[in-house]
Amino acid sequence: MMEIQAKQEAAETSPLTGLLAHLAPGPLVSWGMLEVIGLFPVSTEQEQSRTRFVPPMRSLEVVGSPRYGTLVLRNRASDGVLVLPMHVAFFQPGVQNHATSRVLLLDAGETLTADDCFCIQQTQGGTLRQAQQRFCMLPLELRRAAFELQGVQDFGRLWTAIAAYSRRYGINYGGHLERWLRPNFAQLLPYRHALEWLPTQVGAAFFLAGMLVGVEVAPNSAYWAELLPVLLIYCYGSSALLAERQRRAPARPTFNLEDLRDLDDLQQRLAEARRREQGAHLAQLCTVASLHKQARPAEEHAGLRLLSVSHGGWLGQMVYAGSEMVYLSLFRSEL
Amino acid sequence: MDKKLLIEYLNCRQIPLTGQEQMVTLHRKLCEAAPEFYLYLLADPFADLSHKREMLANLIRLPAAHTVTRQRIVEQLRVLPAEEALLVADAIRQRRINNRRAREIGLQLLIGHEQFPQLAAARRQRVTLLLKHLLGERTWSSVRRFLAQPSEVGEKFLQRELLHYAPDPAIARETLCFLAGVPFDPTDPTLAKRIAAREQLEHGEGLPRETLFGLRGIYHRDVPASRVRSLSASTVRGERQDGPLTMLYREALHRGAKSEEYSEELWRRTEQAVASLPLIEGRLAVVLDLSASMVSSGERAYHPVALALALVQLLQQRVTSVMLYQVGGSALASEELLPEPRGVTDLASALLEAARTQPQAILLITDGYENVRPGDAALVLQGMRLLGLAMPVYQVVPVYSRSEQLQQRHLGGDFQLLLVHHEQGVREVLTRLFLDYAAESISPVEAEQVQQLLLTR
Repeated sequence: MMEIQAKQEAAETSPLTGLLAHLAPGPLVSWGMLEVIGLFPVSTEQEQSRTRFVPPMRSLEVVGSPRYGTLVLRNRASDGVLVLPMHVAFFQPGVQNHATSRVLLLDAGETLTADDCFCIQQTQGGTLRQAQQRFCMLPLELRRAAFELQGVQDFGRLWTAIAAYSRRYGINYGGHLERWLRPNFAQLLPYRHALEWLPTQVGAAFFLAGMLVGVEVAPNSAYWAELLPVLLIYCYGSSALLAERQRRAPARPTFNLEDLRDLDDLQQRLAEARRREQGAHLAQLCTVASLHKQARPAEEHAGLRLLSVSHGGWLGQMVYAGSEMVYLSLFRSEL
Repeated sequence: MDKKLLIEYLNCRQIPLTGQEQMVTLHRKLCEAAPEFYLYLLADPFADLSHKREMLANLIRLPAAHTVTRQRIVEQLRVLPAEEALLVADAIRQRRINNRRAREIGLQLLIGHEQFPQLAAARRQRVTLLLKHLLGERTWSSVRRFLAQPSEVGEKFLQRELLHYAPDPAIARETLCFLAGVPFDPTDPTLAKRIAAREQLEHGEGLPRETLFGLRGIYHRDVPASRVRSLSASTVRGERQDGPLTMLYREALHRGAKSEEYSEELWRRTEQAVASLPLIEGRLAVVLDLSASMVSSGERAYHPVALALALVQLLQQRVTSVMLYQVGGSALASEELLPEPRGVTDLASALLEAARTQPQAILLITDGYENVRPGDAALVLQGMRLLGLAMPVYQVVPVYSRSEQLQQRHLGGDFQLLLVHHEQGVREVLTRLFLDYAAESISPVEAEQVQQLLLTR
């Protein structure tokens, strides 16, 4: 009962418009340099109408990679469309790991061949084997290169970017993403633990040291529950870790304890500091609300429209079902 | 006894003592202040081994501890698992303690231990070196000679020097023959197995892994390591043995079970767990973190929340007044036995609420993933101090292993950090509460209560 009431209030008071009009923001949560505002559907009907979108982890099967740079993927669900998130990567031991360059749409039971994928393990031979396996995601710093290089059929085109990225972590192994990931995984895991999934959540806005760097929205909360840990650990967590190592300071307003009168006064100051911080972050989020007007069509499949955005320092893709935006992945091109 | 000494001991007992001059001094002071109490600390299950070695050395060497009889020291050492007792006693050799008291304690412990043959079979070199040190090179040499060439004089000698300590002299003699390298026909099954394994490693099945690997290194270099592993005794990882309450909570939460299914068993186990714990007078505020991160993941799944709920359950039974403040969760823990972890971690607001009731102490049971403006809890505590609220505030972290990195999860320097990896850790929490309420100087009666809290099982 309380939950329903809270949602109704959220719908009435949501400051989000345009692209994010169907969403209401949750509280700002943070860990280290990474801050997250959860996004929640303003109505329960919206969640119910989107159950046909299957969660990616349990529905996706890697059929194989017949050639370097090509991935064959299958939607295992017999009923339900799979929107495969942008820039997901597959790691298998002893073979050439691959990552996708764009959002892929797979109808129920469909097998799809994507021939513009990236090899992300420069000197490793071997092709991916058939498996229903978990995926990870390209780090935020690599996504701009991955976005700009989509559609080009050269499996090694991301190696230079991976090598440059790894060097920033002090790892000099060329285009091997896995050699960056392995030693840093333990430091990335706390982001997943600290920035928890909340019931009914379908998306989030990600901030790095106070600056909005990404907005991700999933079709429904089951989908989001699978996607959030992947985004936190591999995509945004990796950037936050790098920012921490570069000793960037979070732009977090603190509250003054001078002339404190009593506990009520302390509580008020705490609430005020939180309100100001939340307000500043929401103001940034509102700046991306009109980006859908700059989107250009990329593909139509399974009754869905895929659009790409490259505007005002923002890159990304969004998926529409009719007039409703069901998937969004937006990220800042310059960090 | 000065209570500060005890608090300092509690603060450092899990940290290895090597090279820490301050801790060495603390041990000396503790021993001098209350040798009887100090003796019981030898059996402290949460103290690092290095502390126990220091304790034994102090109990042997310091004049203040000479009121404690050798027999009682040995009895206390026998409370420890045999292997641990051997490692503690080995401090006598490593620190080159040469006196009658040390010799008596060492020999009584070793030869009089009911697991003497097993210790000898598994840790032959360590046991031999310790015996050699305790007896001295010449006496050990005589022992070897008399074992190899039995005679009336030799028999008397062996009896006087060693065998009178043994509960079963025949088995002790066999064990000594084994240690001295004197041929004999073993009747003890462990010794027989150990000797047979020299010929064929398969005969040593069930011996500890290190022992078998040692034998492989000398006698069976061609046997693959995997074979040795399969032959060795299955070892339960000591780090991971949850208490009965934690296990039950964990299982129930994993299964998503209903409270009614578990309530009876939960109460039964709670009663068992608190049976040996005294009641502590006090007004305690507990902030219980039931946010989503308390689920954890992988092999740690549901461990933090289960341990946190177990601790709260035990505290509620053993502190006269407990006020519970909850952060997150699918339901109130005061109304529902099995609340699911859920939601964000706003510890600062809960701490503020807890402070309003002016309790004698506040416990925040949390994994430390404060994600609603990290640092706010520390600022609130700072504010509380400015307002004159001086009650101790503890951050109790339910950890899965002692090696967890907590720098980032410590809420702030003003929070006293307590790591709890087992529900028995409630004893330390209760001890600290007890000491918070106690006067600066602890009376013998109070020291006995601390002993009961910390050590009685």
